[in-house]
Amino acid sequence: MLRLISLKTGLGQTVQAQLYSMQQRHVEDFEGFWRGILHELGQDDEFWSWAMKKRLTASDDRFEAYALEFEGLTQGLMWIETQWHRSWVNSAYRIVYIEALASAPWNRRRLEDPPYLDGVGTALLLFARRRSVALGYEGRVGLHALPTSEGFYERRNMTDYGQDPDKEDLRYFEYGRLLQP
Amino acid sequence: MNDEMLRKQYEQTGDLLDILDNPTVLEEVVRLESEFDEIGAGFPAYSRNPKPVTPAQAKAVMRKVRLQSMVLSDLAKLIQSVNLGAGTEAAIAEGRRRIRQHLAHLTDEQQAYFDALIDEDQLQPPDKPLRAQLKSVVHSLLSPSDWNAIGQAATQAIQNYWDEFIQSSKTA
Repeated sequence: MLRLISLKTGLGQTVQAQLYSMQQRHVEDFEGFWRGILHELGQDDEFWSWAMKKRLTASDDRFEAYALEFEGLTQGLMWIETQWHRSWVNSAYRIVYIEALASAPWNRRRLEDPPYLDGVGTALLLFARRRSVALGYEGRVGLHALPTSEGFYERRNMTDYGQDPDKEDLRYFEYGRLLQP
Repeated sequence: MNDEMLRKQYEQTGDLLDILDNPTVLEEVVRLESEFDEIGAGFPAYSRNPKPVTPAQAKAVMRKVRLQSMVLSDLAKLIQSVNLGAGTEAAIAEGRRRIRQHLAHLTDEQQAYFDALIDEDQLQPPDKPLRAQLKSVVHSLLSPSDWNAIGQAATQAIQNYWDEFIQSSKTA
């Protein structure tokens, strides 16, 4: 386990979730539990392959995969790239790029209100920023938001650089410099 | 939570994530996330065609989540109590795989117990007699051959760890 993270349950209780480098059990949670629920509820990201992301992470140093766990279940997953992506503001600067970020179906307010666990997205986003600082990228982080998530990243103070035709017209958001290396 | 607050947090503790230990910040995080249905990033297929979810579907999902959460937590505690060291992760992973297979094929009696367990959990009574039995139910849900496979997974992981140690100490 990398560390504990304070989050809230949907009932308002403060709890400690655990942040891990992605383990096989997290992939199996997605494949064996999330996927079934997503299918039942007609959600499209049942087609994502987190197993492939974990394999790439094991074979290529530039990728890192993380999971947030609480009460024995995977609550959120994030996959980042740490060496190839550059800032859209100034390409001299490297960024941590969030290749994929997802919360468990039961933590999505559209599916469960209140959700089982609140704050999963913010915690993973904050961890990406922490990795950026640790890597000497001064807190720079970029991502392509899903259409239904754009408002969330705007409210998290990321700058919107508009639609990216190279990424199926998803909007690109970036955090700028937070700290000196 | 803005960049100025994050800078201060970093100066104080050296870790941005510590800011979530601040109850006021955590409240703000929850309030902000509550304004949005989704927080996903990456591939567009994630939410291209989201379908509406009925209250009955949502309720059924939450019952499944609570059941898996209770069962897998108790399984992990059971395995961790043996103190298998480097084999713990592998043993838990194998145990989770096998317990999920059993949960998909419960007898009527087992199903009745788990249904009552979830009802008890949702009612939150002061005493939870069914929850107290769960660890032994989990134990009995796994057959001797399941436990053997869990032990073998742990043994293999320890062997792999040992082999890596021998290899790395040779080149050190």
